[in-house]
Amino acid sequence: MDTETIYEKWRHDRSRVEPVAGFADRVMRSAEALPMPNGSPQRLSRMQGLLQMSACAAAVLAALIRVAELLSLFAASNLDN
Amino acid sequence: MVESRRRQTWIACALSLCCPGLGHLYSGRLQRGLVLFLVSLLILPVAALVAGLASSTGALVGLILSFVALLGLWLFAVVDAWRISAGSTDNSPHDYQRPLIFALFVAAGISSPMLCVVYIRQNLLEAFYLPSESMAPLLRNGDHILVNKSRWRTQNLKRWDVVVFRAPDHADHIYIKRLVGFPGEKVSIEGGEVKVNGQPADVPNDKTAVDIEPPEAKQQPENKDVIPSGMCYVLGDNRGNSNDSRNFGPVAIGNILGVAEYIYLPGDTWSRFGALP
Repeated sequence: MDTETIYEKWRHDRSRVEPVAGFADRVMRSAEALPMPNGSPQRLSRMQGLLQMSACAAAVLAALIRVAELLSLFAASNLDN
Repeated sequence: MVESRRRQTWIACALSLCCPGLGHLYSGRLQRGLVLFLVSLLILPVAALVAGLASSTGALVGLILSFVALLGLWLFAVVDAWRISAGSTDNSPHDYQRPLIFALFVAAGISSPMLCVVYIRQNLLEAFYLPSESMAPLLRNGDHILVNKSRWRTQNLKRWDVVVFRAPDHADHIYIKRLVGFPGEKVSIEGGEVKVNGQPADVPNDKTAVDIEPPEAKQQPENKDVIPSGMCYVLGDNRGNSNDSRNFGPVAIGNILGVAEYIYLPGDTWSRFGALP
């Protein structure tokens, strides 16, 4: 039996081995226990959305302040009799 | 060193909202951005200047339309900045695209309208509200008026101008009356008729004929005295219901704030909108 045949037999036998009970659950628990990196795509996207909304809200506020400033030209002071 | 990156349309729009033209600077259109910024800055002072010089209903309409034009220009700046940034393929950075420059433009964009309005109110036009009928029928209770405060107007006062001034006895009280007499003249009221230097004066909008005569207490002996230098004599058109030079004496010309030019919000009917006759 040459080495190639031995290797193929080992690979075939190995692939038929069933994982121990609860193996997948343990893997998932371990993965969830790991700290999430700061730059994860989901979190980054959420932060960008928040930043975008804040910047747009600030811009709209600045625009409203400008309009109010302009309209104050017609804010009238009271005269006496 | 400015890093090259793709332009974000929402940033361009937000910057244009803060300050017209700033979105164009962000999108690499310096010239167009500066033109939009300067036009938005100057449109209102120029309209106010014209309204102060022209003294016509058309000039008042122009002033109000300048607001509409300003808002239209602003909207155009936002849409144009969005269009340019969305269609731009050249994202190469420019020297002027720095956070400090953007911050300066935002600060200028927010503060410039207030500075413009303060300048206009102090030097060109100021709005006042009339809560009385002392100048009826020319001005009625509830009218909103614009007073011309420009130097070339207040230094060339004419007889019968309707002037706004600080009261001689209470500087915080502001009155509006008709300018009747100048320094060196004698103003008297005899039988309800106003006389300047003894001659009957044809007071515009004189309402004394239909109103109750003012009480005797209002007939001050100073009426027949010569008006001192630097002072003037003022009367309300509706003399039965007016607190004027008959009560507080002549008014210092330096106390005059300006000349009433426009009714921009009439208290009763829109037919009185426009320049005062």
